[in-house]
Formats: sequence, structure tokens, C-alpha cells
Amino acid sequence: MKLLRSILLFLAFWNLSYAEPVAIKLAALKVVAAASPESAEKLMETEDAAPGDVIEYQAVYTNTSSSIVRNLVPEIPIPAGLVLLTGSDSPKAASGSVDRNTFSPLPLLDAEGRPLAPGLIRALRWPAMDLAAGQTVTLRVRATIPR
Amino acid sequence: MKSSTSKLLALVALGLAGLGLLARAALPLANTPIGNQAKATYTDNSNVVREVFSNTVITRVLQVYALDLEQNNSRLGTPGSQVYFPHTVTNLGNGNDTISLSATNAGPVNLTNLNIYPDANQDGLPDNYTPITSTSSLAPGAGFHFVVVGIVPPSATAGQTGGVTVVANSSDIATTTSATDTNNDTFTVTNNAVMQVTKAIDTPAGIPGTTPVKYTITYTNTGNSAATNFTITDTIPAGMTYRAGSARWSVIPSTTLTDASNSDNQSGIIFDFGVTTAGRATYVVANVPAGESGFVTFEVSVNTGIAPQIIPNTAVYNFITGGSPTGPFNSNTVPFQVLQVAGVNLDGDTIANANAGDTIAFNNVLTNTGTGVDTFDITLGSSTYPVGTTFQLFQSDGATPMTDSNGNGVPDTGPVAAGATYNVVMKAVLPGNAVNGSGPFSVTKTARSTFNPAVTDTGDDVLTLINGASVDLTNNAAAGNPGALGAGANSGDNNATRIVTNNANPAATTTFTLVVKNTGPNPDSFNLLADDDGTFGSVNDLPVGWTVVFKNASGTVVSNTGVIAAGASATFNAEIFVPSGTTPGARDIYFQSRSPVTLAGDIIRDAVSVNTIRSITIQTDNVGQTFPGGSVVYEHILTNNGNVVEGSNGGAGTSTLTFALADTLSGIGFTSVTYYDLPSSGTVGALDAGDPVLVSGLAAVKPAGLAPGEQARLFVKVFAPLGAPDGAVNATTITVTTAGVINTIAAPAAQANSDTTSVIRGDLTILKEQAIDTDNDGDKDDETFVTTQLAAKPGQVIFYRITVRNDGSANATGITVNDSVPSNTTYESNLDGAAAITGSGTVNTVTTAPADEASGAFLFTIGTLAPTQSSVITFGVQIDQ
Repeated sequence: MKLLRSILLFLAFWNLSYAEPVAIKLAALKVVAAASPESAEKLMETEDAAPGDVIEYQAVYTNTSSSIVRNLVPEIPIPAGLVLLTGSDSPKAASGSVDRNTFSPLPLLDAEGRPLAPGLIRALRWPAMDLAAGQTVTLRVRATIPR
Repeated sequence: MKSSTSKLLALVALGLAGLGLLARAALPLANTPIGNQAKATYTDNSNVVREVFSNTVITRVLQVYALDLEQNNSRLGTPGSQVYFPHTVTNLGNGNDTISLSATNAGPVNLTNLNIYPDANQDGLPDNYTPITSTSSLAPGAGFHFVVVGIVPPSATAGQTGGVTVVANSSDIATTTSATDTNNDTFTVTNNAVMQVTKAIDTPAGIPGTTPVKYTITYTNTGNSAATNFTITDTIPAGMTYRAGSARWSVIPSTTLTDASNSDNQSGIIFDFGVTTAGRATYVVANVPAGESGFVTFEVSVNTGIAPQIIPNTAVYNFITGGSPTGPFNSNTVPFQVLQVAGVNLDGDTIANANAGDTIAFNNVLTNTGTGVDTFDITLGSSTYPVGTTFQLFQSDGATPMTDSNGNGVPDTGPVAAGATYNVVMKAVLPGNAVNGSGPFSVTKTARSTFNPAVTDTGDDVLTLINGASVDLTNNAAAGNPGALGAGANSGDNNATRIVTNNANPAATTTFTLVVKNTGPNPDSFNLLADDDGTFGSVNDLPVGWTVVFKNASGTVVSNTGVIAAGASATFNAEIFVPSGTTPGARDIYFQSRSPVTLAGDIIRDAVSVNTIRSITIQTDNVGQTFPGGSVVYEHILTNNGNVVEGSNGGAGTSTLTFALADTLSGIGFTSVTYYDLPSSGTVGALDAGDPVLVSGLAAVKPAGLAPGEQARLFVKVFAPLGAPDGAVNATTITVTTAGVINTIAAPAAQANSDTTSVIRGDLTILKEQAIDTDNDGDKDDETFVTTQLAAKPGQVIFYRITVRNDGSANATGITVNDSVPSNTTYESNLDGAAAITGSGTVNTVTTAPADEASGAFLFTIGTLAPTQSSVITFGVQIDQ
């Protein structure tokens, strides 16, 4: 435990001393459905969610360096225990994975060509992009906690 | 009777055993943190693909409530007797819950004294008679056992029935409509036998393999007549094995009931195991009179290797009373909790080699060798990896950082089913400046069961070899290419030998071609240095006067290679300047290319062989004048411009320097001689008496010879004969001849200077006149000087007048006049007889004169007379008397 902590500390130091050119800020927001057809849904910052709630993950990628970053491939995982809401990715993701290792173009299909259960999808990846210095891109995806 | 969703139905259908754990797998426990961390890959400036991670966001799971209530019971009861309805309520929510319980009569016959009592030991009877209205706090998946007890009213009559509604509500019943469940118990009033059967277990829990576990089935006939053919059956549940010969009856407690026959009557009971029905114990008691009690027992062993679970066991009984078969009825259900045994096996991983700066992933297969679902904490232990290596644990996907799923602060695998495997991925990021080297490097990981922290296993992740930063400095071509010299990365060369030796002259530049190849796995840059002994510091270190300049392919002066991609090379010229005067021979020049970042460096040993240079010069041609009988001295500077000693005359490998003189007018008497300006004698730069004549060569006067760069001063003195005609020109040639081979280099050609001496007559005329002091007054000016003969008496004074006049075309220098007192006279130094000198002479001094009235010589020094100038000398003598 002590060793692990020292390793984590070291990692933190390592990250400081070799500043990454890309900063990623991830937020988890609870989606509160619209109360009436006229009103809009709301996103609430929350640290709690009950089974059945919908969580929107927003990842903001920022190029903090002074030069262009090439071939940036963003990836947002869907933690185990959450079920991806199909079609909630914005902008549209390029590929998905059930093991975070092998990624295939969306929609993911099983061996017989049927769409895979969304609960099996563990990560989404977006198309490779270049980020100019200072440029920011925001990616979103939603998932629900199963009841 | 399930109150919750179909999913929960399915869960319950799998049995009580795995309830909690399965519920945990599908429905996250309340307060479970769900962490997420976005990431990205990108390509950096060196075309290396890098990973970057976001912050981690944690979402905590809120509590939901659900429960299950089992079971519906059907009982007989005589008027005035108690009836027992055993129930179990299970918390199917994801957090702790305290469930409220109620039992109400549903009629038509209502029980009196209807109460709920706890039944922790699940023997179907109240543990005590303190009524309860709720469970204790139940963890997710936990069950609570209780008995609903009531008294059949004495007024009830046979054949009447009644019911009891049992309701369980979760603690948030006000907000969650689904968290409730109901059982319906029924009873029938009878006046015949009522067999009350309860079942108990002596060991309610144990690990797989526990033996023996004894079940006791107790019966009491609470009815009003005998029960015959009282049959108790008990099917041995899966996961347990009947122990042969273990059945007993309380009436004959020391008699073993035989297993193998269902027809042998042993004192009123017939028992068999597996004969009447396979896998079932069957007891048939012939007669149980009213009011009689008894019990039967049997033992089982818990099978080894089975999952943690609850094994329920229910006895079934029937009998004949009042001529009618009655039953079957179930006893209460007795659970046996199979405890979990923790076990873990963690296999390490080995990677043969990796590059410095690489991220390498080790796959450690963790096997849950325990009997139940378990979560394993993974910790890192001691490491022999290079300092600066960082480690990070990842989940099986190799991409998600391993996090703490159970809140104990240690990253873990999450739940792993018994017998299942989990791939613990550990990534090691090797520092970019890791040196080349063979390990093995090892880091220990420990997997610790969270079910039983005493159970651990370790696995080592071993890296056999690190391909660290590396460089190979070669001459002429890149290492591995044709023509490359001195290959061997990281000072792996044999520096005992010189790789390339360049010949060079002093005061010249020689160029070495250096090729720096980055043999490491990553882009790197290297400082270039030269050193004369291979003990490199931070700057070039060459002998005094030597310089080095490194130039890249475009001719720019550099001190660093700039970034060289992995596997690429760059060529540089090292220009070494050899200062003049450097003595011949080979000198080591070590070159080094060393990365200031990774410290990877290579050294190559080259050499500069300085050529033997032989060069003697003599300077310079002079022009001078003298007069007949005069001499002139010319200065010559002899210089050794080579890089070896000349003229030491030390035998083989040395040389001689000899000098020859020749005068063009030697025929008319011109002569010359050479002197060596001995530094230790007199004035340096002027000919003095201590300077020796050069006769046989330089070594005779300067045994050490002439060192490189050294000079010697020579004087050539030329003598003009007295009879040299005016305007005669003599050329004196001094020739320096070097002889002898040094370092196979032949002597340089002889060198000569020519001194040209012109003879210029002074044309000095001297007129000597006399006069007699006829009036004896001592005054010469009243007398007449003549050149003719005069007559005088003894005692008279004779005055002499000598007029020296330059009638020539050039200055007459160094004029001195010698005279003497004639015979028979003495010097008369009084009055005008005193020796005197007047005129234009630059000195005009009476240098020597005799004493008064003495004889002797005079010396008059006039000095220089320009053309037409003159000086006049006078003195007097007295004729002896």
C-alpha cells in the first residue's frame, strides 16, 4: 500500500515533469429527463446515481502545447456495470470494443451479424483527429446503471 | 411470490446459495464507486505513439430496495394446539435493509396469540418467545428466518380451516412500492393425529469437505390419536453425501439402522437409504401413539470443492390416522451454509527484451482457486528495474487502469468467479535513459484475497533484457555498412588499438570522418568531443596548440549531432589542427559521441601521425663596405623550421650542420671567417671575443644541435686586403649543409647567403711639417712650417704640424695617427710644444703622449672625417743638449 502510494506519487511527479501536450477533463453528469414536453432535459453534476439513472460522460480534450497534436484518437470507456445508450455518442464515434483492446467499426455485430447487446460494449473510440495548439474538442456518450 | 422484477425472479431461481453474490454482479452494491477515465492516443514529434489519460470520475451507486419472502405453509392442528409456520425473508436490494414483518389472520378460523418469533437456527421452532415485528439489519443477499406461531381456538372443529397472511416490507416501503412480499399460510383443524415435525442440524455452516454433519428430525404426535406408518423421507441434497450406516432412531439409540434393506423391521422402524428411492433416506415408524415424541438422525459429508452456498434440506412426512393417509407435509427447511475457501494463483510473466522508453505490458493470469467469488487486491512489491521505471496496473483489457472496486484503497480485480481467471496487466514504462543491459529485471506483484486476506500468491514480471540508449561511433562509414571502421557500440570497441591514423604536417589540418549511428531504440542526440587520452571531460582536451572543429555534412561547425532517429546515422568531419613545431610521431586522438540525456556514449581511438619535416634556413644576404685592410661583420640567423633537431651530430638518426665560406675575390686576398654567437658570451647579438669560430660544424659549438623552431646567430667577418682597389666588390657565400637521414627523411638542400662587400678607399692625405722656434719664445705661430730640411742647435725646440685631410669620396672612419718623439730629442710639453689636435675630426683626442722631456710614442685619435674635412695635430720636441 505504501509502495503503491509512492508509485502513484511518482507517477504524478512524472506527469508533471514531462507535461503531456494533451489534457483530458472527464465529467460524469446525471441526465434529468424533461419535466414536460416544453422543457429541456437537464444535466446535473452528481456523484451519486441510482440504478436506472442515465449518466452522460463528457470528455474535453485540449491541446495544451504550442504545436499541433496529430492522430489524436480519443477513447471513452464504459465502466463495467454500466450499459451504453446506443446512439448517445456525440459526435458519432467511429468504433467500439467489448474488451478495450480490439476495436471494430460501429455498430458492433455478433458472429451471426446481429447487433451486440449494448451492455457488452466497454469503450468507444472516435476518428483520429489533429488538434491545433490550444484547440479543444468535446466528446459525449451516455450510459445507464442497470436496475 | 416474488415481489421484484423478472431479473430477481431468475436470481432466486438459482437458489439462495448465490443470491448475494449474483445480485452483486448484476446490481452494483449501494455506494459502489463506478470509476471512469477517458484516454487518447496521439503521435508525438518523434512519431512515437503516446497515451494520455484524463482525470477519474467516480459515480456512487445509490441504494435500491427489494426483498423475497418464502414460503407458503400448510399445517394441521388440533383445537387448542399451536401451529408453526416457518418463513425466510431475503434482502434482494443492494444495501443494508431492516425489513418489517407482520402476520394477520385471514380466517375463517382465526388463530389466537398470533406472533412472529425469530428462528436463527432454522429448526422450525422459535428461538425464544419474544415476539418481533422486524428483522435485524440485513446485508444485501442476507436472509432472516422466523416462525409465525398461533393457537388453534379450542372451539374449532375438525375440518375447519384458517389462514394467516405474512407480509414483509422493506424499510423504504413508503417510496418503493415493489419492496414488499406476502406469504399465505393455511391450517386445517383435526381431531386425529397431528405430527409436528421439525428438522435441525448440528453444524449449520462449514467449508467444503466438512464431515460429519448430523441432521435430526424430531417428531411429536400432538393429536388425539395414534399415527401409523409414519414415514419420514429426506432426499440428500446436491453437494452432500450420505454417510453409510449413520442413521439412528431415538427408541433404539445404539442400534445402527441398516441402509440396504427396506423390509427389515428393527424394533418398530424400517430404514433404508437409496433402496426405496435413490439418494433418499426413508424412515417408516410403525406406530406413534398420541403424545409420543421421538427423533431420527443421519449424517452427511459436505462435498469437497463446492461453491459457497446455502444447501437447504427439507424432510417430508406422511402418516395414517383415523384410517386415512395424511400428508405429505414438509418439515421446516434447514440450511447448511457452505463457507467459502479462498485460494489464488498468480502467474508471472516474462518478456525477453524491450527498448528503453518502451511501455511493456505483462499479462499475469490470476486464477481464483478458491471455492467462491472473490476479489483480489493487487499490490506491487520490490523491483529491480532501472530507477525511473514506472508501473501501472491495468484491468484485463490492458487499457483500463486497475481501480479499487471495494473501497479498501487498494486496486483490485473486482469479483472473480471460482475457478475463473483474470488477466492482471501490469505496464512498466521504462525510462528513456535506461542503459543497455541484461537483467533480469523483476518486480513482484502480490494478489491478496479480500475474502481471506491471509491467502496470497505472488507473481514476478521479469524483463530479461533492456535495449537501452546506444550509439556506435565509427570512422568513414556507419556501423554495419561497408567501410566502417571501429564498430562496437557504447565503447565496446577495442580502444587498445588505433582505428585510423592520419598523417599530417605541423601547421596543417587533417580531417577524420566520423559517423555517429544511433543504435538505441529512440531518437537521441550526441555531443561530440575530442581528447588526447580518452579521459573525456565536458570540453575538448587536446595538447597545447592543437584544436579540433567538428563540421556536419553541410560544413557547419557543431558540437552536437542534433537529433538522430533510431537506427539512423550522421556523418561529421573532425578537423584537427596540428601546431607548427610539433615533433614527429603518432599521437592519440580519441573521439567521443555521448548523449547528454541518455548518457549513451561511444569512444573511438584514432591518431594523428605527424610527419618529419626538415628545413634549415639562413638569413639573410647582407651588403657592406670596408676599406683596404679593413673588415666587416655580417650577421646571419640560422633557423630550424623543421620539427626535428638538426646538427646535433649524435650519430644515426641525427644530422650534422656544416658551414662553408667562399670569397669571390680571394685571389686578391679577401678572406672571411664564421663565428657562432655564443649566448653565454658577451653581448648577445654582437661579435665578441668569447664567440668561437665555426670550424667543423654546429655541434662543435652547440652540441645539442638546433631544436625545432630554434635559431642560432652567426657572424661572418670579411677582411679586405690592404691593396684592395677602390670599388672592388667581394661576394662572400656562406653555405649551410645539412647531412644525415632522420626518420627516413633525407637532409634538406644546402642553404646559402651571400654577403657583398664593397671596398671604398678613404683617400686620406697626411702632411707633416716642421718649424724651429728660432726666437725660443715657445710660440709656434710666429714660425714658418715647412716640409724641407732645417738646421737647429742643441737645446732648440722643433714644432711638428701634421695635417690629416680626407680627399676621398666617402667618410673616412676610425682615423688614428701614430707618431713618436724623434731620436736625440725629448717631448717638450710646455707652451705650444704640448700635443694638440684641432679640426673636423669627430674625436680629435690626444690618446697617448710621452711625459715631459721624455721620449715615446704619440697616438692621436681623429675619428671620422667627411670628404674635404681635415684635422691638424701639433706637438713640440727639444733637441738634447
